[in-house]
Order: sequence, then C-alpha cells, then structure tokens
Amino acid sequence: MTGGAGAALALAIPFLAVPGIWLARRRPNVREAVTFLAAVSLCGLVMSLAPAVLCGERPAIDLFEMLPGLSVALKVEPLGWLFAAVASSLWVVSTFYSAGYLRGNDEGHQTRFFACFALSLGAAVGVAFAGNLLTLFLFYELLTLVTWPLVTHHGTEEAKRGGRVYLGLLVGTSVLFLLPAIVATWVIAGTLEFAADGILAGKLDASSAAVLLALFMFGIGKAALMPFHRWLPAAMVAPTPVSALLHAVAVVKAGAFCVIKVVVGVFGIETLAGLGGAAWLTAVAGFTLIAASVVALRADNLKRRLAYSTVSQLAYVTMAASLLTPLAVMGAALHLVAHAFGKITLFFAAGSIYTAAHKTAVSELDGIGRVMPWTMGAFAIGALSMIGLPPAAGFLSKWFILSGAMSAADWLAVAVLAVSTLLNAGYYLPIVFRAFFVAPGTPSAGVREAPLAMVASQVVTAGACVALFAFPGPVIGFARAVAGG
Amino acid sequence: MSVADIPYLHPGWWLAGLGIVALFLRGGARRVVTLIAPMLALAVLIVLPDGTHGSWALMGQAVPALRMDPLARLFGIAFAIAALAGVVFAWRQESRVEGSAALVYAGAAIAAALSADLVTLFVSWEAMALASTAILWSAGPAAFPAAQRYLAVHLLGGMLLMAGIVGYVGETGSITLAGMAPDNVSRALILAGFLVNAAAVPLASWLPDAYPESSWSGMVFLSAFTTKVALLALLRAFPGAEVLVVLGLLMALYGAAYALVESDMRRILAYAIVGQQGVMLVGVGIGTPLSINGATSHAVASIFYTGLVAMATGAVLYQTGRRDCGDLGGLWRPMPFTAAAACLGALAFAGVPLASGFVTKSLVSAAAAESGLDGVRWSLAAASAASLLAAGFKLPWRVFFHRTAGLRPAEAPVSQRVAMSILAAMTLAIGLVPGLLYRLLPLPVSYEPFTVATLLGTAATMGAGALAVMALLPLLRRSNSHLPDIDQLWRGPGPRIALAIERAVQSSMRAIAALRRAGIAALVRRFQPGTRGASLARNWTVRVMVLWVVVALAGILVLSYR
Repeated sequence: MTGGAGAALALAIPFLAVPGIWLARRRPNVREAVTFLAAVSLCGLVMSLAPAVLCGERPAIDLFEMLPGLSVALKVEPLGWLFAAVASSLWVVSTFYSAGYLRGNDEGHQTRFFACFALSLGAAVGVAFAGNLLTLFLFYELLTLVTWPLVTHHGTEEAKRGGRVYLGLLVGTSVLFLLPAIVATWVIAGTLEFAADGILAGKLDASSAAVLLALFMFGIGKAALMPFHRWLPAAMVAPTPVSALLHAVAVVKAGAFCVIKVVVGVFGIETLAGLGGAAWLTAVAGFTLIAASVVALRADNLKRRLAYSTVSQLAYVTMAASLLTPLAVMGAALHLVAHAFGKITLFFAAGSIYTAAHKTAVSELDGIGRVMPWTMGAFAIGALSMIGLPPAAGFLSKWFILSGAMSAADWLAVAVLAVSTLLNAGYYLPIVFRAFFVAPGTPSAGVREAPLAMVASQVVTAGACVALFAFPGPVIGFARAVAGG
Repeated sequence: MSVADIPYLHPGWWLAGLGIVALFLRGGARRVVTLIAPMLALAVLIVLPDGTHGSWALMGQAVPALRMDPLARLFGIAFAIAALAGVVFAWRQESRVEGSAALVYAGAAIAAALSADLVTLFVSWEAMALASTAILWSAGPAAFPAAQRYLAVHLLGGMLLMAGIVGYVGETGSITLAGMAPDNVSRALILAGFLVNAAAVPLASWLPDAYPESSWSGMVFLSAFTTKVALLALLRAFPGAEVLVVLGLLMALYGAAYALVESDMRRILAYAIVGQQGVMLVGVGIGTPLSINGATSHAVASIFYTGLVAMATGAVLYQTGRRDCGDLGGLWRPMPFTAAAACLGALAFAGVPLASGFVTKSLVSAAAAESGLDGVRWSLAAASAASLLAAGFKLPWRVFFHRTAGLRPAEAPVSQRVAMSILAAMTLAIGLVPGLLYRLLPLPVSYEPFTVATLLGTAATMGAGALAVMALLPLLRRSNSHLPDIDQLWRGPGPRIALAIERAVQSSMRAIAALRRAGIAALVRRFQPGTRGASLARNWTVRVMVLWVVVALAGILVLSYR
C-alpha cells in the first residue's frame, strides 16, 4: 500500500465506523467495541506512516476534483501527522473514558454520541491530512457541524443556547473571514496547495499581508483568539467527554493546527518576517493569553476555569507562530501535542469528580484528593503540564517557545510567558492544594474513586504527559521537521 | 565495572524517586525507606570518583548524567547529611507528604549540585521549587497564602533563569554549565534567576515570609537546600561578579537589621539566614581563591548550623506551639538539651571561635582584606556584630533564658535530640578541626583561622557587639514586632491589578454581547410586520412590485447587452 492510500484509508476508517456503531445500537458493548476497533486501527495506521514522514516522504493522494484546478487532496506532512497521531491516540483512550462516563451518569443518546464522536475524528483526520486550503476548509466546517450535536447533547434550553453560540461563532468566523481569506489567497497566489516555505512569497506587500493574516487568524475561530473565544466556555454545557474532544482531541487542536499551517505553509515564516512580521498578532495573542488566565483565576466552576485555560493555551500556539522563528514554530507544534495530553487529563479528572462526587465547583473540592487520590494525582500532573513545569510535557513546549522568543529578542513574548506561568500556577495549584491538604468541609459519605475505566484513562494520559517529558526524542524530531530543520 | 560506569546510579534522582515511593507506603516501611534513602545517597556521593558519569540526551544534545568534582561532592555530602538529620528530626511528623516532599527536595538539590549542564540544573531547580512548596502546603491552610507567594517568587525566578538559559544556548550552542560573566541579557537573566533563589535583595523577603510558616519540621528542610544550591550555582557560573559584593553587603546588613527588630523566633532565624547568604555572596563576588573557598566553606558550615537552630526552634514550636519570643522564655530548665543545641548553633551563626561559623566566615573577611577591599571588610565586621546580637545573643536569650513565661513543656523527644546531635557534631567538628573541611575545598587552602590577629579582630567585633547589647537591650526585649518588608510593595497591588484586568475583560465581553443582541434585535424589528420602522415587512402593492421587476429586468438587459 502506498502512503497516499494509507492517508485515504485513515480518513475513511472513522466514517466507516459510523454504520457499524449504528447497527450495534442495541448492544452497547458491541457498539463500544466497534468504536474501539476503529480507534485502534486508525491509531495504528497513523503510527505506521511515521517512519516515512520522518524520512522526508510526503504521501499524497488526490481524491476528486471539485473545481477546475482545485481538488480535494490529502498530503501527510509532519505537523499533520502530529495532529492525527494525537487525535487518534486520544480517541482510543477517550473511548474507554466515554463509556465509563456515559454509563456512570446514565446519559441518553449514547449511540448518537459515539457516532458523532467518530465523525468528528474523521473530520479531524481530514483537517490534519489536508493537502490544500480548500480541503482544509471543508473538513474544518464539517468538524464544526458534527460536533454540534455533541455540544447540545443534553437537549436542554441551556444546551441549545450553548450550541447556538458554538455554531454561530465558529461558522460565522469561518464564513466571514476564513473563506474570503482563502479566496483571496487563491486569487493572489494562484494555488491553494501548502508549501514548506509558503505560497505567497513576493506576491504581497506589507499592509495586504497584515490584512490577509488578520482574516486568517480571526477566521480560524477554533483557535479562540479574543474576541472570538466565547464558544469555548459556552460549550461547557456538554458532557465532559465532549469537552475532552473539543479541548484536546479534535476541535481546538484543529484550530491550533490551522494557525501553524497557515503561518508556515501559506505565508511562510521568512516571507512574513520579511514583510514586517506579525507583531500585532503577538500582541493580540499575548493579550488573549493573559486576559483568559485572569478570568480563569477567578472562575469557581471547574470546567469554566479549564475552558478559559484552553483559550489561554491556544494563544500560546498563536503567539509562538507569530514569532516567526523556527524554534518558536517547533514550540508551537510541541505545544499542540503537550496541551492535548495535559488538558485531556484535566477534563477527565473534572468528569471523574462529577461522576463520583457530583461536584462542579472548585470551592467544593476540599479534601477530595483523600478519597480520589488517582484522579487528583492525574490532575496534578496535568496542571504541571499546563504551567510548563517538569516532569510534564508542557515544560518541553514552553522551553522551545521561550527559545524562539529569546532568539527573536521579543521581550513582550518573554514577559507574557513569565506572567502567564505565574497565573497558570495561580489558578491550577490551589485546586491541588484544596484536594490534598485541606480537610473536607462536609462529610461526603460514600464518595469513592470514579469507575475503573475513567481512572485508568486519566492515569494513562497523565503517564503520557510524563513520558513525553522523559522521552521527547520522537516528538521533537517531528516538531523539528515542521519547522523545516 | 566500577560504580562510575553505572549511569543510573544518580544519587539525587534515586533519593527523589525513593521519596515518591515513600508516598505510597505506610508505617514502618515508609520510615525505613525515608531513613535508608539519604544514607544510600550519602554512600554513593562518598565513593563516586571525580569526573563525568553516564550520558543522556537533553533537548537534542548528549550531556553527562552527572559530574562529580570537589565542589559537587562537598555540597552533595552536606545536602545528604542535612536530609538524613532532617528525616530523623521529622520522625514524629504525621504528614506523609512532607516527608516525601523533603526527600524529593533533597534529591533535586543533590541533582542540581551534580549537574554538568544548564538543562539538568534547571529541571532540578524547578523540582526543588515544587517540592519545597509541597512542604509548605503540608503545614495546612494557615500557611497557604505564604506558600502561594513563595511559589510565585520561585516560578518567576525560574522563568528568569529559563529565559536566560535558552538565550544562552541560542547564542553559544552549548548547554554546559560553565563560568560566565553577566555581560549580556541572557547571562544577566541567568544571574537574576540564581539570585532570586539565593534570597538576594530586593527579592529576599520570600524567605522570611514563607519559611516560618512551615511545620515544626518543615523549616529544617527548607533552610538547608534552596539558598545553598543557588550559591553553588553562583560559584560555578559567576565567580568574581562584582555586583555580588554589593548585593551581599546589602543582604548582610538587611538581614541583621531585620533580625534585630523581629520578635518571632522563626523569623529572626529566617532573617539571619539572609544575612549569612550575604556574607557568602560577598565571597563569590570577590572571586579570589581565598574568597571562593570562604564562600564554599561558609555555605557548607551554614547548612549544618542553620539546620541546628532550625531544629532547636522547631523543637520549641513542637513542644509549646508558640513562636513569638514574647510568649516564650526560661525554657532552658525544662529543655536543657534543646537550649544547648540552640546556643551552639547561635554561636556558629555569630561567628564565635570554636563553632563552625568562625573558621569559614573569617576566610571571606581575610579574602576581602587580601584584596584590599577595606570597606567590604568593615561592613562585614559590622554585619557580624549585628548578627552576633540578633542570632547569637537575642534568639537563645529570649527563648531559653530571659524571664520565664511559665511554660513547663517536656524536653524534645529522642528523635529530635538525635538529629540535633548529628548537626551539633558537624558544627563542632568543623569549628574545632577546620582542616577537615578545608581539605575538601575546591581550591588549595593555606589559611590558619586561629591566629592572634583574627582572634583579636573577632574579640574586638564581639566587644563592640557586647556594648551594643547593653545599649540596645530595650529593643531586643520587644515583642510582637515586625518591620514592613519590601514585599508589601507587590503584595497589595498585585491582586488588585489582576482584578482590574478581569473586570475589564468581563465588561468588554458584556459590551460586545450587548452590541450583538442589539444588532439582532434591530434586524428582527425590520422583519416584524406591524411594528414601526419594519421596512422589510411592509405590504407592497402589485403595481410597485411590477415596477421594480421591470427595473430589474431592464438592468439585466443593459448589463448583458454587448
């Protein structure tokens, strides 16, 4: 099988799983087995592409021609591989977790949930392996649409309201800004195919580059640059596994991926740097980073705090990309991976706390670590990763982003990173302190650890955070390839 | 195959790892592990030959897993002994987390001492910050605000250091920890990061803010590692940096002055630690072989005597639950052993002959004299007199001898007395036979501390100190006294700024939401039949519509006519 066919098969697997899930709708164990099988085979397939991609091969395939000169095409390159690897491996883990969560909380519409989950993975793989901006846009929009039923899963008025904001902001930004940006790129460059050093070299002046970059950056609503970040906290009405999908597996990762992809593969970091750069973007991302952290600092609802943390962490990626140095781009790619594993651990923990103790507020978590040591231990690892401290993966990406900021002598970015480290510690570590060092206020009789499937999932993702810190070699190899070095 | 060929026999990481293992153990097993772990580390540190050992890849570069040299060995052994004595002292500590965190903390300190590259140093650095925060946390909610401030300062210091290191690596392409001068931004950032942990002014106040809030056993661990690792890092990277002399003198005077006014015994000790750090910084800054040896030996000696005083005050806190000198007094009768330990430690603090502080601090003074830095030498003498007053006299006097507070606690338990004995023995051994320590120093020493000149000089300092005691006795008797420290500058405004940013973000989001709602409402109104201004919902007559259709068709005709 050639590499290109492998990419096409990877895209097909999640879509093929959907009829299987539907057919097995009366037998939950079989249904979850189908999902699990699809997840494992997708993950294995993506992993099998790794050696070729790392050796410099770029497996490509044209699926069909949509308009003259514009095909829906797939091409596997290092950044896309990283995204697909993260999404597919976390799909495996979150299948276990979702099964535990949905059953533990007696949630309805479980078949719809698993089917939509599979569809969103398909869309995510499509985004990751997109060979041109058109393909990217199609799968980007598909991802929004198939995750919408998940966000509104509960069907309550509140869920519908959250879903409206979610759909409105994501579709609105993509249609109003992203699509015109893609059309403009098509007109200016005459192609939409990504290239290692961009496709706009010598075709733009400084002001039109700034406008185009702004259209792209605000158009990629999934990267949640302020003021288009509200869909993330609004989507908190969804069940926790959906939050995990949004924040770690697929949706925001697609946003971060598109930001890097556009800066590197459409503009090209050297072209953009030559045109006067993206200093305004550094400032906007830096503001988003700090402001979201400050909001998180005072949010008492655990999931809301995590949501604003995601807004802030996504701004890390955007800020790193805006620095336009190879080291910072490496850092951005690594942060995409590191944040995924850290944030899914935190959401898993939040869901376990909800399932086992029915608590949603940070102020209710006094002493919860004594009854749920594994959950809160995993939470602590995830928190360290968010702050960027050893022994967790976040340290790695912060190291490279900071390296990029220092090599660009961008003191604003350096200061933002320093302040945000303090803020992250300020809103994550008090939770760990409460959980382990404060005596429980009210005797919460009968609270025990969450179901095994959930505990196991979060221990695995927390372990992955530590493993990425201890054995960063392969991921750094891919990140270096992303930065073209 | 010798010990040297086993790369994974890293005493620091093993100690830290066993600390984590101890977290999952209960009762006797935990006790055994926590006791054995520092002994193992100590044994490895003694037998491991000089040179680099093992290798691993960090950030894409192969670096030695550890580097053993005289400096690393000296500090490593001191850390291991401090950890061992601390574990014994904390025998009755109920908190499992504190015990485990202490071992991780000590292990990370040893790893930092043995690190040959900046990345390992930094990872150990952050591990120490986290482990020491966990020690503060385990003192409970009362210590939490201080712990948060402590962590914030150390994370900030860590970011300065990290920014400096990545900048340095970018400039030089090397991650080896080597001597450098603070002559560009990256190196200045590295220096700043080191200085934060060295408790240098103006950020020194984290130490007296946080350490006293730890548990009775926690402060023993806290006072042993962070500041001394920072000093070791300064010794390796910035020997002879003149700025250190200035900062060191400021710290010596600041520490002594605050210790004089303070009445909480643990805070007196904390300020005295800052003062001692100042003396060591001066030694690093002078940069001659004699002063480097002085700073090194003073750091090592102070690990033991500071620990001794921390234990004695910890034992008092354990037995009485009180910290302020005004609530204590006359404890020498019920706690004679603790009183003797405190006196020995305090004498070492003050640099009195026959206790260890004298033979090490006088190296720094001699180095200042040798380099012709008379101002430095006299400032050190003044700071010495003040620290004699504060740590050497006031602390033991107010706690153990001054009028009795009517307390009748029991003597410190056996475990605490054993631990104090270990550190007292180290303090006495160094004080009586300085050659033992001098032989281990990184550079050859030919210094004789017990000469007529030094003894006379010390006697003169002490005479001045004694006169000052007479004069300042009322000041020393004060209770519940604190001076506002520099940290008031940011403890107030910091949270207020955060709150202001949050309010601004929230209100601008509300404004955007209101605008959006208003826009949608306006749109809806236009389509709503029967409301005023609903321009898009009016009923049109057929005549008007036909007219518009004709206009539209005519327009198309004109446009497509060629």
